[in-house]
Amino acid sequence: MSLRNPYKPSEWINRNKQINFMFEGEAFTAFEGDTISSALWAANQKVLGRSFKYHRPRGVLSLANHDVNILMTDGVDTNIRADVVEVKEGMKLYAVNTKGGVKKDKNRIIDFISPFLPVGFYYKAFHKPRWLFPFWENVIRKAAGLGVVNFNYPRILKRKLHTHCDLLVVGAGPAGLTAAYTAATAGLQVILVDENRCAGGSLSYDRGGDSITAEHLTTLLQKVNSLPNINLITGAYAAGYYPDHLIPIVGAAGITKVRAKAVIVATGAFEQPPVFRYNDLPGVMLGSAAQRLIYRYGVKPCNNGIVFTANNYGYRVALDLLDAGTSVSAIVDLRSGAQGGAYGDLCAVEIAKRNVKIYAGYCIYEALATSDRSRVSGAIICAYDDKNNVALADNKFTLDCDGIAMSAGWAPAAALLYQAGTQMQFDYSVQQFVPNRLPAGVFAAGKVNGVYELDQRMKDGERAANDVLNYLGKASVKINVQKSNVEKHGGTSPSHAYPMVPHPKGKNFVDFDEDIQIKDFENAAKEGFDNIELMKRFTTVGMGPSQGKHSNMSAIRILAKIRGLPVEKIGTTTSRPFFHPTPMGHLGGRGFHPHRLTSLHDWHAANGAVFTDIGAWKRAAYYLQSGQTKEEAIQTEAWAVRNAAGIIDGSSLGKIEVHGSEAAEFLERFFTGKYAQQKVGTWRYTLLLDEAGVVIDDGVASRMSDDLFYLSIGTTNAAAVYREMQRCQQMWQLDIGLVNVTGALGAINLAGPAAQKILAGLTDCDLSPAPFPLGHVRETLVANIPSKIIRASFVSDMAYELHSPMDQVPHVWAALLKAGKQHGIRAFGSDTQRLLRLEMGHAMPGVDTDGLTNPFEMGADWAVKMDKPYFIGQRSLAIINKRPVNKQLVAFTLDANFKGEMPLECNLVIDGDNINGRVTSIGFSQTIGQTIGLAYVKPYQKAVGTTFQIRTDNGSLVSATVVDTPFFKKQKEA
Amino acid sequence: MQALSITDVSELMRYGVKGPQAANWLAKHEVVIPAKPNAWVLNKNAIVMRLGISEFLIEDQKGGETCSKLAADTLRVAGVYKAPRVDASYMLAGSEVHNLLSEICTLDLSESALQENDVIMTQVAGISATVLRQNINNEMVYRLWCDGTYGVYMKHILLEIGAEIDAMETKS
Repeated sequence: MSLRNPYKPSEWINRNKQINFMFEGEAFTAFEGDTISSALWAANQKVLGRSFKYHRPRGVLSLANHDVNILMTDGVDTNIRADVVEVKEGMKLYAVNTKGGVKKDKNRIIDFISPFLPVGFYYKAFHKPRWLFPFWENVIRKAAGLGVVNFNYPRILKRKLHTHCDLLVVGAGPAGLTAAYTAATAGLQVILVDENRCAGGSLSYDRGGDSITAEHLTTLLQKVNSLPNINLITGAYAAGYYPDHLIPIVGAAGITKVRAKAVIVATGAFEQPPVFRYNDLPGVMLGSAAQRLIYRYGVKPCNNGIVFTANNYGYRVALDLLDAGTSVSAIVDLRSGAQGGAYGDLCAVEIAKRNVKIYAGYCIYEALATSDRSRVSGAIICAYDDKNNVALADNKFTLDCDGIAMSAGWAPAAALLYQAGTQMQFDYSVQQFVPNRLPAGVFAAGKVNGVYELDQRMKDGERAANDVLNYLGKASVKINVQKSNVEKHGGTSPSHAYPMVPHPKGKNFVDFDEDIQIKDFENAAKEGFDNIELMKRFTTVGMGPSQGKHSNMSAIRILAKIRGLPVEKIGTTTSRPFFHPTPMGHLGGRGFHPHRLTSLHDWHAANGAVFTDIGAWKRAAYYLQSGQTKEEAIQTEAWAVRNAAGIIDGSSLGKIEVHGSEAAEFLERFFTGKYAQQKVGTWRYTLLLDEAGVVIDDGVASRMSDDLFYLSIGTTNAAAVYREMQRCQQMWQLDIGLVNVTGALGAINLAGPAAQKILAGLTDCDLSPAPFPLGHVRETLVANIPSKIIRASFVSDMAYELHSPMDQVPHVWAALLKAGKQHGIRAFGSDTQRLLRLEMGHAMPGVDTDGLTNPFEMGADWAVKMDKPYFIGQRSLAIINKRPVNKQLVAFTLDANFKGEMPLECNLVIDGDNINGRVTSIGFSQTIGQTIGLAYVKPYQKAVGTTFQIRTDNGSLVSATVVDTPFFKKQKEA
Repeated sequence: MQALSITDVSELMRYGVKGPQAANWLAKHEVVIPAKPNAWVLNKNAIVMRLGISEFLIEDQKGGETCSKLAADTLRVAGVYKAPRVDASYMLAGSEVHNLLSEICTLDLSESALQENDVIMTQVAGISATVLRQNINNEMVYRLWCDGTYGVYMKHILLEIGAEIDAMETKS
């Protein structure tokens, strides 16, 4: 039997367009605009999901994306929130977390053994015997989770946008709409966001049997839509609050990060279910859910309903049910004081006229299920002692029904306020936490602010907008609503202080996500978890996908009662962004992964380069020729450098010019070495430490003139080193200027016995060792391109580093290849470079050091001039120098004919039971004919000839012998 | 008006100079500079950007000769540090340009926030960049500069997002 009602003008569905879809293998029809849940409910399908833990049947609870009773999969996506996701033509849907379908879920047996599975049982079980744990782990892993992750899910880039506004209003209910309109009227640029598909909040469903709210909604929407400076975003939620009013708005298409000058939180409140036995049966739903079904989707929640209320709101729900054609057999009011109807509420009067029986001071003791346990069939009702919060079950009686609407109160949707740092206080007049002290630029309005009457909520929105205008210095004479103009809530509280009905057999659910009952809290407290944060973690209340929207407040009340404390002494749990589950695809979005390319990148790619990421750069690691392995490619390239010539693109090196009369002084302070007396036309080693004396980077400083140094530094740290230079200069205020030319200049390293001959043909510079020895630098033309030639020996004694304008580097490169062809020149990559420098015995910061290594440990004592007045890290080194060295970097070789498991970088140096150090670099050198490496060892192992043990990945121990460096002895010119 | 246009103008000539005497040095070369930092002026068919108190980036527009004239002066002068510029440079325009910018930059680059002669140094698509707004033939154009070694990356990002926006436009 269909529960679809006749057309209502306010509804969100288009009855002219029918949609066909499948649920659990059965065909259904819907109207365009129906959510999956509303369409199925209209078709009288009540079991739409299974609970997470006990696999209990579940139906609609909030119909607002605030609970996860109904999660579905369409085979591609999972955990689809059926309450708010619109049904589409051809969908084939299944409930998640079932075995054998939602109606005949085989795992429903867990519900029958639930007494043996109280909260925390798994903390205590399964640990012993230990050998059985893998079995239990497998069982638990299969049982845990809701939907199944689809590892073939298509990669869809969700956009992450940034936008700015004067005012962000979160929540487009009566308070939010009024606030947005008021602020926009005064000229502010306003973004108004609401999680629902259409704006209006409760105005779109809370009618209480008349049309006033609908008229308000029409008027407000007309006003808002008339102003171009209001950007109304619906179907998107404000997921968190970050400093300086940065709020991510999550919509279907992606995330928009809004930076606002001020924020009004008008997020309303989540309706709270009363807690009674079997309050989770399909057909038992929140009063507001029933109203949503009626007015948004034209669906009757049930045919014969009971309203279980603990506030006046339930009477409004009853009127709406009557309007929808539901017969209301009773209103069960938990409040004994509501004799004959709600306190002074007009709806109660109207209800009385409609001959609906009101049981004041009564509770639903237990909801009854149909024989197949698939839906509610009635309710056991009895008197309720609301002073002691106990059901007086002696005179209980039963009423038949096929639906129960629950209205026990509200919990403020205050996550954003908490995250913004709002100080909240408990207001007994409304029985909820309300803002006490708001951070600058953050404002609250409406129900979240403890204001409940409709006209007052709109006035509160106006007041909040007025506060914003004052805050932004744009106070308007026309708009001047003070806080005192907004009346505090009068009459009875909209929330009951303790809407819980104890039952000896339990199953009175507090948290629907995790199937947590009242007794679970009592047990947790008995176990000592009687602090709200501890109780949360032990019981897992609020830790499910609903994040406690319907359970946290009840948990606080229960704990307060157990401990005999007022609610405000219990406090709340910490609210963290994102407050609502957000798909990983949204969080991932489009990633920006910046990378830099040298001007030779295309050449590398065309010549078989295998690229590696070094810092932000894509560098050629080696060039793979047909049929070669990586190792063969590296050995071939290394062989060329040792026996003929090789060139490597070193353009990624950091390059910085230090200009000015105090350039040398700057270097003296910045690096560990001495530069004041450095001769023009020479270079010196640079070693940079941090203030703790830890090695950060190294490089060379070429003195181009008295007042100009040219620094080349490591690729990875170049940007950080430049920033640190700028920071130091800010402090030191020397007469210098720093120019970062990393991207403007490229570099080529030409190395090998034939290097000099090759280069000689391209430059007029005399390259003979006597006029141009190691340690010198020249400015000249190379292949007619202005270049610096630096005689450095990083990979070979016979090497020239050529620095030229980046866009001219390909020309120089091509000229070198052409000139070197007859000498057997070949390009080599950064992996080969690492082997070559290892053969030379050079340690590399970042590779052969870590975040704690000082220069004494890496054997760079020679580069540290402690007799200088000052350099960064000197003070720390002076202290370190007085202590014994704890580790020492040594060079080692493996036996020449070693054939076992090859040690790798980071393998440990072991001595008995002790870890003495680790391997930092290792590789087989064809030139040396041995495996060579660098490793940290204890100082007692550093002497040449000492052997030590390296533990490989397979656990075997390999002997290594400490040797002197360089491994590769001085190279002669070809 | 096109929905979005992305033009690579990296081939335009640029010149960078910084240092305490840079402003005087430019004045001697008859280059008009902005009176305050983070501003730009158009001078003799060149965009002259003042990136800081004593740092300047100049880009010749089509037919401009300022940069080549400055580059011809190779004399080193105390307090004047030539900063070779190999930037990637793009012109972004069209009705959807803000849609593009909102994805690659966290700052508000709308007309209400970015004044006519403002120069902003910020992060664009995760890298350091310089941005300004320019009116060319009555069309608002955003100019974007980044280090040339990031040029391929930046162009890829701009085109990728541009294509998505184009697809959305076509759909709607």
